Amino acid sequence: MTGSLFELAEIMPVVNASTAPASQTVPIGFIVLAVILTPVVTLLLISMFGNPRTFRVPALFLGGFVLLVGALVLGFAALSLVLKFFVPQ
Amino acid sequence: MDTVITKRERRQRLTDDLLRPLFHTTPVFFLVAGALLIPVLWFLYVWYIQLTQGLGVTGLRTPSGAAWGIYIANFVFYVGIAHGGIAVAAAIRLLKLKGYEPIGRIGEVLTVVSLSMAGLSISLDMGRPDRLFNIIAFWPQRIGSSSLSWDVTVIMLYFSLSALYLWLTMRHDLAECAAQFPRRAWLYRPLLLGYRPDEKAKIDRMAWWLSIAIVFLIVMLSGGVVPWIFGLLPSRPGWFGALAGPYFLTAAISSAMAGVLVVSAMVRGVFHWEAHIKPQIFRGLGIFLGIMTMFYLYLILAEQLTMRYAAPISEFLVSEMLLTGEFAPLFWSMLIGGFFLPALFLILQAFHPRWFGVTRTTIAAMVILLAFWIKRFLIVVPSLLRPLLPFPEGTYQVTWVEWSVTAGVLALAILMFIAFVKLFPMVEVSEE
Repeated sequence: MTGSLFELAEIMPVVNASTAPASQTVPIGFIVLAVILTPVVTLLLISMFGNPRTFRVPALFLGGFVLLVGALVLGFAALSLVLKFFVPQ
Repeated sequence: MDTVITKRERRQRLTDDLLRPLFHTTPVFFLVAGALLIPVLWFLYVWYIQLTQGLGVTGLRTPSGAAWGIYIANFVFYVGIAHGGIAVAAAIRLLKLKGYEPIGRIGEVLTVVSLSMAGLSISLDMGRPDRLFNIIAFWPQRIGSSSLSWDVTVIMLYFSLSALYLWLTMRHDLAECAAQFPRRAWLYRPLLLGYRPDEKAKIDRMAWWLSIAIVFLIVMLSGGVVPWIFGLLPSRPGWFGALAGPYFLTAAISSAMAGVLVVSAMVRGVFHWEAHIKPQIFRGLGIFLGIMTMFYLYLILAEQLTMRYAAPISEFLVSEMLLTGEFAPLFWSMLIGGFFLPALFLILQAFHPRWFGVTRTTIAAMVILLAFWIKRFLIVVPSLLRPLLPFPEGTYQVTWVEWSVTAGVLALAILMFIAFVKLFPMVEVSEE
């Protein structure tokens, strides 16, 4: 029975993979990112302000964040560059 | 009077005990590190073969066959483990679970290591990994519609926040280490930039709010952008569905709990920290893991029921592959032996405390962990073998290259973890 179902499936109309994204009237990615990032940024800001009122630790945290993201981006670039020597171009 | 131990002496003993792995290295450590280095070096050699000869040396095939295989299964697996690790640490801080504090940092380190391995697994799966930077270079153009771009963005954010969380909560202990081991000051001093002993109150407050941000990110990453890579693809039966988010999130939390449990048991056994990492921790984690695994079984049932009734025929056929077809032995072994029986055993421990044992709980967690890896494999591969497009059904045979890479990545993860154990305090000294 399964065999005949497999055969049947071969001639089933193919789902148009492009239908869903094409019907998007708004760039949904920005909504997704906004939904994810807005609470995170808000919580980060709350974590930095408030008692005890010192900005040394939040400044270190922000500095570390920038450094780390920068290091990740540079890491991506460096890895791509190194791999170019191995992957046939 | 000699037997009376002052509070100061007691604290000194605790500190000495918890910092012992940093200054006391046995030959066994070098033996283990050397043994792990072998598969890592072999992995680098095999990766070189894969880079120079292409993905043809793997079992990955397209259009007929599986374009994603165990590399992507590994990616989902490591991302999952990465979540629970820090989720445990965040939950301990948010819910003030004092008894679980000794394993908080183990979870945090597990997160950073696992997330690094997840990133590596993606690079390994790429046909042209030298174009990796294109993800960043074309980010503004792709972020509007590409779920892969969302994934990279959120993973980078999650990695940064997790690493910084680990760093912040470790600063007080690093100061202790710098004072005790002046020879290693070169390592600790840069991490203690701007350190003042009175900063703990601020760090505690920041860590508390950061914990909420991290828990939210866990939901959005493991229950959001990672499953959406699969769930938003209508061209693959078995992937397209609204259940993907909760399904992946439950798997991530469960497998991570299992990971934290297993690693904590190993750390406890190796360093004889029975007095610090108490059995109650394993009992609590074990029961929670059992409940979460049972819930995951319910989600599998819900998924399979849906696939076998009103869903398109291709969905039914993927379900057939799992339930009665070529993947049935793997599927049923995983379901009964990997999930149901260990989870039942862990839950029953709540009713029969005498059945509890750290070793037994750890073995059950290891079995569940292995079953979750198999589940990730069964999510990725069968759906790819059953294309909707008019191509013949494919096969997927994992080659020695993929097994070598998988073993090497696992060895690298363990090596990174034990390197951390030798360089930094694994249990929060200040909390003990």
